[in-house]
Amino acid sequence: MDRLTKRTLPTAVAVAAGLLTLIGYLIPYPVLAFARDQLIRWAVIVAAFAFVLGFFNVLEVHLRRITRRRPGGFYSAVLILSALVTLGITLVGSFSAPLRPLNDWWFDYILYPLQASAAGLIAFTLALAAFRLLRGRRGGEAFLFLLGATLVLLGSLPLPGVAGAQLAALREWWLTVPSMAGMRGLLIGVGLGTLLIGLRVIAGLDRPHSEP
Amino acid sequence: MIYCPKCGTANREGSRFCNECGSPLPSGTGLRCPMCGEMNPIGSVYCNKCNARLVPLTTPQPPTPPGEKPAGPAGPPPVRGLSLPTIPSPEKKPPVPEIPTGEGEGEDWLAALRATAEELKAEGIEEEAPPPAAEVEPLEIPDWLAELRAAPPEEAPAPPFEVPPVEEERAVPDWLAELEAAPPEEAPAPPFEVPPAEERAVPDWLAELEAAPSEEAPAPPFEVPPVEEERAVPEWLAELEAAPPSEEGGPPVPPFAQEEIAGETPPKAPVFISEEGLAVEEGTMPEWLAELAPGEVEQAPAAAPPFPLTEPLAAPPAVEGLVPAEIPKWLEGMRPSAKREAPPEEPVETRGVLEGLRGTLPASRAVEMPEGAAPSLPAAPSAASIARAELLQELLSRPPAPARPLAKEQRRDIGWVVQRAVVALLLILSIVAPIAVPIPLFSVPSSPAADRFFNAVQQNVGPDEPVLVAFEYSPAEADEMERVAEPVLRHLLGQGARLIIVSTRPEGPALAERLLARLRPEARQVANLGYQPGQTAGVQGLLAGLDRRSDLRTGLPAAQVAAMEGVHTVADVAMVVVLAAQPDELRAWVEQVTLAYPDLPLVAGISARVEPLAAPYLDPGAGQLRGTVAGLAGAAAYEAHLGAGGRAGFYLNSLGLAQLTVVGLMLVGAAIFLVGGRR
Repeated sequence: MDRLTKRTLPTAVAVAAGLLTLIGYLIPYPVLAFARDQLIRWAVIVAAFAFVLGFFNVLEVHLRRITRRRPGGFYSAVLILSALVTLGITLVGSFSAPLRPLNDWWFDYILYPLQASAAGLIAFTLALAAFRLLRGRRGGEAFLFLLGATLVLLGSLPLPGVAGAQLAALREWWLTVPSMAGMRGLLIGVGLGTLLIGLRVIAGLDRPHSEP
Repeated sequence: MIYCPKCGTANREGSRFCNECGSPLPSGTGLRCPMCGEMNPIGSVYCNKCNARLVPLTTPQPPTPPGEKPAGPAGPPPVRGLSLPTIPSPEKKPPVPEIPTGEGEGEDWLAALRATAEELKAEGIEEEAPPPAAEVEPLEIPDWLAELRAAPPEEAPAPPFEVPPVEEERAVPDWLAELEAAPPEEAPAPPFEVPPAEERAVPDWLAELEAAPSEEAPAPPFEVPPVEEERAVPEWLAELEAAPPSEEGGPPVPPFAQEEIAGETPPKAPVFISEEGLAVEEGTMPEWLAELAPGEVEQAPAAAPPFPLTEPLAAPPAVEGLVPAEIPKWLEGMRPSAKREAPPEEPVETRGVLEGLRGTLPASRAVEMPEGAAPSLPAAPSAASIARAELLQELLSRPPAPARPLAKEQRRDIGWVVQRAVVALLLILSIVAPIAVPIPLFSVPSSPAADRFFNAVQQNVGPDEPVLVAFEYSPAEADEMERVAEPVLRHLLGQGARLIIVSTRPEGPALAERLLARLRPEARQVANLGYQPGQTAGVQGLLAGLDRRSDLRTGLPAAQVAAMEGVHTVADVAMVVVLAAQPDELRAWVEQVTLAYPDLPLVAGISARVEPLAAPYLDPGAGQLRGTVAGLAGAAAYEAHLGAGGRAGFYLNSLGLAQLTVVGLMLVGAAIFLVGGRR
């Protein structure tokens, strides 16, 4: 019974859904297209529930850290408090039009500055890493990275004179030839990997839905 | 020294009366040797001239009854020990000296014994039950034995060797009589039953006997190691258990004792100890005692070895008297330490020949010893143990940590802090200075991708044309993406297009409202359809049914919103604009839109770091993207097409100066670490 409910049935459902969606794209038949759209809609609903479950999972993890008095409990308390306050304000703003400005204010003056400030530290980190680039590594890759970064950064600037124009042309070449070649190879690899994973799931070889 | 025949007190030579009790002392003639007639001092055991024994060793052996086998080598093994009767082996049995009976020969102690025997007879004591040795008044008691006694000499004067020859026909010593009369649980464990290997050890009681002052009670002479008692049943005990009960129904008597009771064995030879030391007659003296020498006896450990000694010792030199024995190292290592718990007070023997002595081993103790209760063995530490202990001591005595690496680490930390401070300071200055002093440092850069974007909007978006705009960035990327999205939306709104806003990020709709609040579009121009979960599936779901959603601004269904007029699916819009800060979102939109609607114009406003990924889609041969606005530079170029300055151009100086700073730091750092190494 466990094998039926935990392995056989989920695998059958996954294979059937994958095949129907794939066939709906390949065969332009209204019934198949309808089935495809319904399955995608269900996937969106399931994803929405997964998002809610993730929210409560975060609360559970940090509540456990607080109750067991583990290190970082204070930050967990701040996280839980912030999440609950944000959830409450969003719900109130969604169901009450007069309180909608409160929701906007919370987003504009709390969430937005916090996330933007955290992201702004990346610039400083990248600058420091650039300064210490050759401290840790001195191989050919490090020198190649140094050369490419210098070209892209300087070439993106509207430097005056012939040197500026040549740098811009060099940057364009760098982006359209070496960088694009590498990026296309990366995209082809991602596409092949996605195709392979999809086929394995449809064939029942991979069962991410039934494995712990 | 002359010992009082009544109380046993030692008196100086030449004394005529006892200093203790006033009894007349025997004259200084001493003991006459029965062999050569030489006069020896009182208390001598052997003749000074011919080495003949002066005091009787054994009682005369009664005649062996017919049909019984006399005791011989096949009999029970000789029991060794001090002051307890021992069955001598035939090989070592010394010749029994002739018992002098005449009074004129001067053996006063024999006369005293005879008088005692007559007194006992007068008291009606049966011969079958020989009187206890305590009742026999000794003639001579060595001082060491007198000191051993806890009771006054008058109360317990009987030395173990004072067995009168006239009672030899009974040949049952008092201790054996007590053994017969005692209850089974009090069956005296023969303390002389020491393993052979232990016989050669130096008992502690003997050492204390020599070393302790006369006032102190010596260590128990029969301190059998407890380990031996509990781990192995001695042979005599096995015999005791197997032997038939005695005639009186008392405890079982060992075979040798039965033979002794029946008078079939030669009388046991009591141990005779002279006042000079512990000289015991050869043949009855235990081997371990014969190996001892006076000098080493004094150095003997104060306690008996706590476990059986199995290692044999070298044979002692065959000399008369006490010979210095050699205590092996392993025996010295077993000497109990001073920290060991002192043994409890030993009981005082109240009966038998050991009356008055402390430390006699009661039989019940050996029998009742719980099995498996191994005592702590103070084994001598091995060389490996000593080495480990020294190593541990050395480790504990080491200083906690060297200060030199710590100082180096501190210097390193200081250098690291300085580097970070310098980099941060330069970066902040490069960003803030152009804002504080708005001097144009850089001209607007050219961007072919932005040019294509602008042209696509101009060609495909007309007045009242619906345009689907996907906000796929978060507040973390909003500072850059808003600079990119603002000129694009302004251009679309300027074209009179209707904006249908969607997002697969939870923050997307709010970010769109934030940006639209600055652009101030007309209400009919915008429909915010909110967040669509599911990432790639969400994109597919948006493309399949835009009219099934609701407008966040009005709360109405999408079909009832003016901006959604005539729009049901993505196929009904004039253009799709994707504002993506991450490569995955851009890839999802490009793949889904171009797959389902290949002819639908698709443009993207992207962050600078997504620009390399967008390049393949932007390739004219692929045609998946009609144009891109990448980063702040692309946004400034797009603003230039719009003909009005914007925020992108305002921050372009800060961006350029910061890029120059980063390039400078990178080159300087490379030079520093190339020249100066990795320090």
